[in-house]
Amino acid sequence: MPELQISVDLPYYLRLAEGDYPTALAGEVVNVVAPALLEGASPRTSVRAQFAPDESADLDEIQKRRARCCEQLLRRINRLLRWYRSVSRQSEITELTRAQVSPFRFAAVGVIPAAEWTALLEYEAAGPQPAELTREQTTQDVRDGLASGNDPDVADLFLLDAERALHQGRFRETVLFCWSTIDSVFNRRYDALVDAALEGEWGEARDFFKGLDFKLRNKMSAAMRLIANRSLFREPGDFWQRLSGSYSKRNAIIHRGESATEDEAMQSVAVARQIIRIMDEV
Amino acid sequence: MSFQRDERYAAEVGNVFGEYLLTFVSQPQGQVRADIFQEKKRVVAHVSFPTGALASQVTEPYVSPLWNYAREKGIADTFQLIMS
Repeated sequence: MPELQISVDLPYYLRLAEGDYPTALAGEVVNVVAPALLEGASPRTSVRAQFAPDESADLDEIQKRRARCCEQLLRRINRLLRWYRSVSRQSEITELTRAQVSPFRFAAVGVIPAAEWTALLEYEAAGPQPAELTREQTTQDVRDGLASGNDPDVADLFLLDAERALHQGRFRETVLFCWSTIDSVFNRRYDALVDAALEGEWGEARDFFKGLDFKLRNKMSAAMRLIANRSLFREPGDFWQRLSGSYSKRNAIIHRGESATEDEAMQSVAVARQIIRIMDEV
Repeated sequence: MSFQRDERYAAEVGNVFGEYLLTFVSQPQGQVRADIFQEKKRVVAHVSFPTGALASQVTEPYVSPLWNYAREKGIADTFQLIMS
């Protein structure tokens, strides 16, 4: 079992004493290290923790276990930052993404493991993405939008806000912005489908299908299957599980004040994008 | 084929990350995509997870195939993986 110390440099200087900070009840600790004072550079606090993942000789398994250790370290760091932000009243101290603290530096504690365990693990915020539109297309679309006299669809703006929040480490807001997007896009299209499918029907029955009592996931599954032959429950892969997980996190944030991790925020963006795509297709 | 040049991607991605070489997609479900670029002597595989799988939970190998590719091309000394 390799024993590893993983460390990162935060993009902040935290006015905290060096030493161990328990981040959970059961033995999770991060160690805060005083920043190196380098001429011409702003001081940045370093944080580290020790992990003992199960041994493996398989390169892919080693990568997964290292990634898992990084996730755990980041979770501890973000808990520390939430408390630091709250105590210090510094709103500019936000939670951090893997890319913001990258690279993760691995060092052996004790017996030296295989080199694959101690290589740097680097993350970036966004890889090389192709531009979706040419400059001419962008120009024409902007002119057309302005000529319409309207503002961009609020669902588009919410999703952009969600993506921005994700990159800024504002994970709770990412989830909430995504579900604002989903509520807006899904409900508008769904209501139109109900009206079309039940045209001429008793109004109260039609309103029941569109009402709050009918619950969102009932609308997304059985009702969508009836009116559009496209149940989100029957989408391929694990989409429904991811949608349900994201919805539960949204409710936990709103009703129980829970936080969200970077992965939960990323999942909510992926779910929102997929729902937009599905509702555009029906 | 796991390693292929994506010509449409090549035409659109530009050269901010260097010269685009080719793309790796893990099998069988494409949980992992790695776009490989060369900038001067450095060769970088930008690894992403288009199906929404987490880096700590993917089941399809990508590290071994990418490093085997680097060794076959004689670029292992300058090869790097960056997770997107």
